[in-house]
Amino acid sequence: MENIDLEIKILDYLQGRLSETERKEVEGLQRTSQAFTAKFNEVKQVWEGLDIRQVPETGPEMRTNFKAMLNTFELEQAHSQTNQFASTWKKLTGLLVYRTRYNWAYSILLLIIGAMIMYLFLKPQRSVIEDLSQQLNDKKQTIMLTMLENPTATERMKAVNYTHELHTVNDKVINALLATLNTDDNENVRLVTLDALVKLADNPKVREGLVASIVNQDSELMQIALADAMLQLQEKKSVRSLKKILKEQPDMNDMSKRKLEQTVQKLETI
Amino acid sequence: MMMSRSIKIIVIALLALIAFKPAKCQDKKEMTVKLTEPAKAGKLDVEIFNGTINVVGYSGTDVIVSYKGIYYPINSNQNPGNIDAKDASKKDSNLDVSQADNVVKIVVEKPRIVDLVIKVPRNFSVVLKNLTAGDIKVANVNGDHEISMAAGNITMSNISGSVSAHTNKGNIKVDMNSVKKGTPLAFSNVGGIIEVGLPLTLKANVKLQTEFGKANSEFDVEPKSSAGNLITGKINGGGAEILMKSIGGDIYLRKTK
Repeated sequence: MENIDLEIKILDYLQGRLSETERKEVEGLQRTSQAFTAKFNEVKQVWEGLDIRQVPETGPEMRTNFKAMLNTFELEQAHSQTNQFASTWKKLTGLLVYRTRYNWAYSILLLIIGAMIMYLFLKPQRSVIEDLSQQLNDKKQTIMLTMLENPTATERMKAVNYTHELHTVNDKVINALLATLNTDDNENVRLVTLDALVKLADNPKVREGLVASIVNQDSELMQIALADAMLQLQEKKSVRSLKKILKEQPDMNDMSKRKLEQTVQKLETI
Repeated sequence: MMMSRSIKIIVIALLALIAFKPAKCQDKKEMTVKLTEPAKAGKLDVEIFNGTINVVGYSGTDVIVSYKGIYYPINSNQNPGNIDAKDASKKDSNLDVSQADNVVKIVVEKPRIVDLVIKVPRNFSVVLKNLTAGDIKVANVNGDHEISMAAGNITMSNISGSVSAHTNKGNIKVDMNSVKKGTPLAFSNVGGIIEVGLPLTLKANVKLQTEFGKANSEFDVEPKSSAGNLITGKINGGGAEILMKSIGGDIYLRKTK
């Protein structure tokens, strides 16, 4: 500890940072104590050694050298960058040069790009048209369902005939038509409805509804018309209902009876 | 004093009774029904159990209902189709006629029989229903007409607007001067002739179908698909649907002269 304090003191002395009394004390110790003198010389040596390291002056020669070095570096950098651009450009242009073996690759690429353009631009437009036509169809269906409630028979017929203008018919419309077929109190409206439903008979629900309707009809005209429709649709399931009518209505008009019997016969031989 | 006061009350009560008398006719052969809005078109809605109905359009604005009487058949259980039965008894001769918003309604319920003659303004829709038997005649009206009956003939002449006519057993003969644009027409029966006259220039899609009779058209039907008992196609380029359907009768589509 004392040693370190001593060394600091010696360093301060060497740098001339000590007060007059301290300096005299150090000089006194130098003279009296051999150990101190040895320490003093040791520190002095280190201090002077440190002092030797001098920064060389930057002469004009050095500056020129540095500039030359910098220029060379910059040039090298710039050169390597142009090289990179050139090689990339070369690669890119290389792609556009006609090469037989790339034919297929190009064609497929073009097809994919075309398909993407189609998807991005044409698809949304088509779906807009589809949306509009669907909206129109929905509107027509709503109008048709409202018209079916009209108290005037010819207006209800108009509603039923409106189904020919619909490109798709939903369950709501089919249910409404089947309800009209079974419950409308006007015979002619029911007849017209039957005609409309026969045209929709691709739908299994319509077929089922038509078969089920046979026993619901209490007028001969409707029964015969339905029998006719069954024959037209080759619907064998209707035979039982048609036979039931023949059995339960013995006082039926002769012509109607004959027509029903003929129909049953034809359906049974299918 | 007391006497004269009670007489006054009786007189006032009687007057009130007369004033608020419902549209009910007792022993009268004819009654006049005023319309709520005489300038506008109206509708006649008649449903009878049995009897004849004869409706004629005229230049007036009231509906005039006349009837020969309302009869009960001798035995109400007997076949109601037998109209001769009305000669036997004449009990209740009331006819209920009501009018609301230009709709004149007449209902004669089972088992009564009635013969009606009704005059209506020309712009009138005629809706007639006969549940059993009798003939129906309609003339000189413009509107949406609906005739349906179980048995009897339907004769309509000088008609405008739209028509739906059905009878089970009986002839249908209709002559139309003009048809409401875009409105379907339908005529059907089981047995009996169907003969319909339509304006020369009417555009329509027609379907004439009979099971055991023959279908005939004075109009050129294009494209004609005809099998003797079936004619379907367009007349004058096509338009609203016209259905003429019979089981046993012949069908005639004619041009109105």
